[in-house]
Amino acid sequence: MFNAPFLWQQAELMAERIEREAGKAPDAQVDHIYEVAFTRPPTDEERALGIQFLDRKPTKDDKNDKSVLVHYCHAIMGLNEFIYIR
Amino acid sequence: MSSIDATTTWKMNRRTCLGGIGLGSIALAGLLAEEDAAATPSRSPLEPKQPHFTPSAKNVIFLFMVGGVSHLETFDHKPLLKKYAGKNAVDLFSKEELDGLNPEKDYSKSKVLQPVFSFKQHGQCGMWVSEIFPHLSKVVDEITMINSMHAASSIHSVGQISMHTGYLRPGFPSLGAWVTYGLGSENRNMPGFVALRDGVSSGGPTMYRSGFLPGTYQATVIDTSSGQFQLDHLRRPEYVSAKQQRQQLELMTRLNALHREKHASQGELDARIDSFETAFRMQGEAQELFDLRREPKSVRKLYGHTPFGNQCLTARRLVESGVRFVEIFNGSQGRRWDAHGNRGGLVKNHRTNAAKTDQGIAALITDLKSRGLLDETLVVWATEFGRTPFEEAFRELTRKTLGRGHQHYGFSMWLAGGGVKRGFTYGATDDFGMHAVEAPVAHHDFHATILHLLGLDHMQLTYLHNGRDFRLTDVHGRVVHDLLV
Repeated sequence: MFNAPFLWQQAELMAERIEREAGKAPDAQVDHIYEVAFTRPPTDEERALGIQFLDRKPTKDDKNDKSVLVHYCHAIMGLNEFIYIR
Repeated sequence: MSSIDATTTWKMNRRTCLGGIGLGSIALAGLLAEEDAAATPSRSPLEPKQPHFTPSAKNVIFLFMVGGVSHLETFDHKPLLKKYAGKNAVDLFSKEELDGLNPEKDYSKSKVLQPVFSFKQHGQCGMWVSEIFPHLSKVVDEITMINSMHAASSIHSVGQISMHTGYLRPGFPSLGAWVTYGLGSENRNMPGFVALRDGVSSGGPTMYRSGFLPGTYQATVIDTSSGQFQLDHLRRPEYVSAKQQRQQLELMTRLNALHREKHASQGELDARIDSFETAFRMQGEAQELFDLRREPKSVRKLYGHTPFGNQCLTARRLVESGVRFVEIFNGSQGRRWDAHGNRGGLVKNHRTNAAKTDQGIAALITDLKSRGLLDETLVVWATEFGRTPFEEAFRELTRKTLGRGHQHYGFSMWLAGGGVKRGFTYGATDDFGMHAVEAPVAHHDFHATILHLLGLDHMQLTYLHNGRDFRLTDVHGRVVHDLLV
């Protein structure tokens, strides 16, 4: 799940779509991701966590090959809510 | 996994995804099997659990020889077969006995075959071992040999499955899964049950899966046939740093916790949160554990630089790190111990297979002992059945090499360490090596005894499924106390 190339590929495609459809503003991106992935808006807490993640400034330890948005999409697809129905 | 082209992926949202490819193909869901309401509500399903009583063994290394090892060429010394050699099987055995073996085989022209290898007594205990196991012969004083095993079928797949699950058909939990369910795992960085497999055998994955037990208890499978000892996707991709991954995991844990609050009754969700943590930690520890170059040269030499030797050394490293149950499959692809006349012949087949495994097995016992681990680690050597005292067909007519058929009425398996007697031979077959006649041990008894050594009562270790409590031993099994110290 963490490392499989397939999931990273899907995360990139998802990030591309989110940016195309929702623009570059983190709050709009988070809202749109929840709509696409879970067909519901995020709660206030979830939105805050998402924006905090997306606003994070890269440090020198970070690899810059993938955008923060790709990392965020990757995490979303690993969530229990995404994996399990109900 | 194959890639999906961009046009398909654009349409991928939850609904179309599920509608298009179907629920069953979402492999992720398979990570956790349905858990019945009766399951324990413990935070992590792999947390160490108290056994039913004080155990003598903590861990198991289960060596499974695929194809049916001939007891008559390895551990069951039958000198009288020489006297009967050449006699017709139909004159010595009843129709019922012969029909109870593989019904597709014709034994009408089969003749008794004397053992093709010489036997000698070894060790202080004087255990009989044939010439093809020179290394193992040196450690017989650590072993409990059972020469009176009997099982339920002389068909490979059925025999393999029942030797692992107690049942004749697929779908039931394997011994390793039951043990992990009963005891949990002592190393949170590693799964509790690991199978080192050198291919896929006719019994299939049901031999190491968890059946109706929660999916957490199935084996993590490592296919060693390529010579690689590595799990898929264990290595972090080069485009992600450890810190980034940690941050991702933290985000996921917090979001999963919010989700969890809304679904308080669903323990599976905790298990999944846990499995991510385990996976994250495995990236560190598992890579080291599977890296045999970390062993001193002397140890690597002891095991021999062979695929099987490396499997054994890996098993020791895993058990040492707290993995509960490690199973090694030898000869999976093409069930290599299957010594029919038309499959390379008995002599060549068993000589080759023994040569490939002998040093590794002996090294495992020696190494475990020198580290003080043999007392708490039960080593099991098993196979699906033994072989017939007679050849299958009339060799002169078919111009085949020597070979033996399958039989499950009486054969040999052994145990070492973990609280079994040392240098002890138990039970016996008749003069032909056809039936277990003295102190017979059924595969259910074998399973009950292994559980007992681990502190588990095979009658109490149950799981509610389809409205009934199931056990590894079904409605059978008894602990063979004679084997225990």
